[in-house]
Amino acid sequence: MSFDVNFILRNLPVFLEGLTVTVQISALAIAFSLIWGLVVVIARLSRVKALRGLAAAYVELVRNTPVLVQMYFIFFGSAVAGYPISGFMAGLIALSAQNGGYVAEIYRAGIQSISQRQVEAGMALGMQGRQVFSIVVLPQAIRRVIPPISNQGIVIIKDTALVSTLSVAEMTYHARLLTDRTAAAYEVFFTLALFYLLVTTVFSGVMRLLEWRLRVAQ
Amino acid sequence: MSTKPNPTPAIAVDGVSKWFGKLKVLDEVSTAVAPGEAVVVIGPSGSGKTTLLRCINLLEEFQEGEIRIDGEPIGYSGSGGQRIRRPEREVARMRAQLGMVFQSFNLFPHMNVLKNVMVAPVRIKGVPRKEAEAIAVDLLERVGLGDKLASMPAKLSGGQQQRVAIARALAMNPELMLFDEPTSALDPELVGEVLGVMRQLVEEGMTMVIVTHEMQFAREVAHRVVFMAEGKIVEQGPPDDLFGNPQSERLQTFLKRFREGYMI
Amino acid sequence: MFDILIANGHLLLAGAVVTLYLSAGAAAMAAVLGAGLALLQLFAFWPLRLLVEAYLYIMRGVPLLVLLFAMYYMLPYAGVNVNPTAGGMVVIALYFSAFMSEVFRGAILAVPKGQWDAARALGMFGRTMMVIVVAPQALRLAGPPFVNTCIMLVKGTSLVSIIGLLEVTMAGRQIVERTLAPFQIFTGVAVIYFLICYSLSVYGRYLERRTSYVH
Ligand SMILES: Nc1ncnc2c1ncn2[C@@H]1O[C@H](COP(=O)(O)OP(=O)(O)O)[C@@H](O)[C@H]1O
Ligand SMILES: [Mg+2]
Repeated sequence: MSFDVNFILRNLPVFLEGLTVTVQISALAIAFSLIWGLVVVIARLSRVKALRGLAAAYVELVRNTPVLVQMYFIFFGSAVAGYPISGFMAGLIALSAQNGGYVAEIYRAGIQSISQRQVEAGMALGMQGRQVFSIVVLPQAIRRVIPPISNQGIVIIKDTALVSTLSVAEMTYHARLLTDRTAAAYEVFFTLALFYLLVTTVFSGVMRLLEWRLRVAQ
Repeated sequence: MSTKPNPTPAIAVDGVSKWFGKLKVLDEVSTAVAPGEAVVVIGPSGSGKTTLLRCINLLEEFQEGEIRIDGEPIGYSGSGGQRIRRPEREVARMRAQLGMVFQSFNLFPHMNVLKNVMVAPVRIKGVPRKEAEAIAVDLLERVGLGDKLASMPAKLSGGQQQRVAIARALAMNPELMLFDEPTSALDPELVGEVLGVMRQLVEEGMTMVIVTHEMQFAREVAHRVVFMAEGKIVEQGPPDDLFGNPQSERLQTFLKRFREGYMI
Repeated sequence: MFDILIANGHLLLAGAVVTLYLSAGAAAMAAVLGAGLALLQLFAFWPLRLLVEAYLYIMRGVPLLVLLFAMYYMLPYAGVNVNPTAGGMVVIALYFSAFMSEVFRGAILAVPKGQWDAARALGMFGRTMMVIVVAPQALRLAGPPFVNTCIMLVKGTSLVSIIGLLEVTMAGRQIVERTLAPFQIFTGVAVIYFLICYSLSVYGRYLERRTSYVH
């Protein structure tokens, strides 16, 4: 079994093309998950009981069903409903919906990890609920959620590979085409794995840097 | 019992009772603190001292009675059976007039010392930043921490943290200060520096309610000592009377045990 | 409206059976492997530890789907003829063993230091200490995160549909191609996953409550 390095170099442009799409959908999915997670956690901690229940049910729903099935549901469902959306969009929606649920739980754990004493110290100074949240709780919680958010981001990056099944031309899609065309499975999947490691490593490095910056400020 | 010449006491506690579930932790507590008076509350663990302070500051709800600050009932409005919890905005405004110092300091770990002291005046009272900073620096110098402005709380000793906490409470320019065992979490050699700051406040005429087990401090500094047991005020009066000639058997036992070095 | 789902329900259920045994087999393998990896990571001689770290790094940084494709495309070229179901199960197990190792490692490290000291003070060391003092406490702590990882694993098995295994997601896709009723059918598929995963998560929460009583 030979391993053809030249084959990899020759096909590097194909991988790079896929990489751009992978990075794009990853970045968008992470951003939307962070935002959507915020909406969900606000509902989850709201004073309105119905809203709380709805958010809790939503979190349970997305956490207990595969993102792939959600993608199929949205992609094929939208086509049958007469409003076909692209595989890219369907993937993005499913990834954000699922991971927004996880992110909401991360936010919640971060908020609830701030001790009641800190809250009371704020109240004793005359802060109202909202002020206690924004001055005392949130800045401390943000520091604590960075590591789990970083992990969730890696989950998202890896799950973007699933949109290849909806014919979105990201890295995994190109890799499959290339294998079918050239039969150079070893070279292709070695390179593909390397590219994913590259993306996830850079991402977690950036997150660690962010965490470190905030630590130093503390 | 000392009579108060001032018709409106700084704090008036009037028949306050509080239950945690079925447990009655405050049992018709009544007392009053005159402006400029320093009252030390002593009593065995679990007697309701913390709860009383927390009720005064509305961190805890109470079911019966009334607490007035400068004659204004706090926490609840409506009289004669009707008790309506006041809106949060009003409760917060009243709390801003009371300084509170906790046993566990509770500094904000994500802010440096200066920011800890400045944050409430700036964000709650809307004091201009420059002005708040000048006040904060001045207060921190007064508690002996003028050289620690940029330090983070985690880098300070317990005694230093507690002095920052006192400065933080003072920065709101409160009408009175509540202390809940401010030295109980400190190593013995650090107790003195905190008590020194508190003593200075008493001398400046700050109205204070101090829960503490520092009997020497109580004896020397307090204008009046209140002894609590099982949710009731058992005895109160000038320190020399209480310590020198305790009337109730409970207080006698308490002081005896204390002298024998029991942990309280 | 859901008559299509009812008419095809038996196909989905047949797929669900495959999903279940795929999950159970992979979870069992992943647990054993993960426990081993955790022990190596914590206690092995450093070259071996480095090797384990490298393995974990790859498993955590590469998508499961890519690993499945790699198996699917590469093994035939290598002349290995694997049963795709067994192959899928093994790849899933390898992938999740990395997450399981994190679960066990975290649990071992969460056993209070005083317990290790107490064991050492009684003259225990090595395996005796692990078996008598550390492991029983660590296993208790590992319960809830272990169940969470199992939930991820069950959801992860849906990916083998992409390499052609006929489990519940694939069954769903086939029915949809025939009936053009994606809403009904994929709802059915989702409900099946939900029932499996939600039961697990209820069990996980029960374990969590039990462990928190101990401490
Ligand atoms: N949040 C609470 N829930 C239930 N019981 C409480 C709570 N806080 C205090 N208690 C009980 O109230 C009583 C008085 O407590 P506390 O005011 O803390 O006493 P002290 O400060 O004098 O030690 C104790 O019996 C204590 O167990
Ligand atoms: Mg107390």
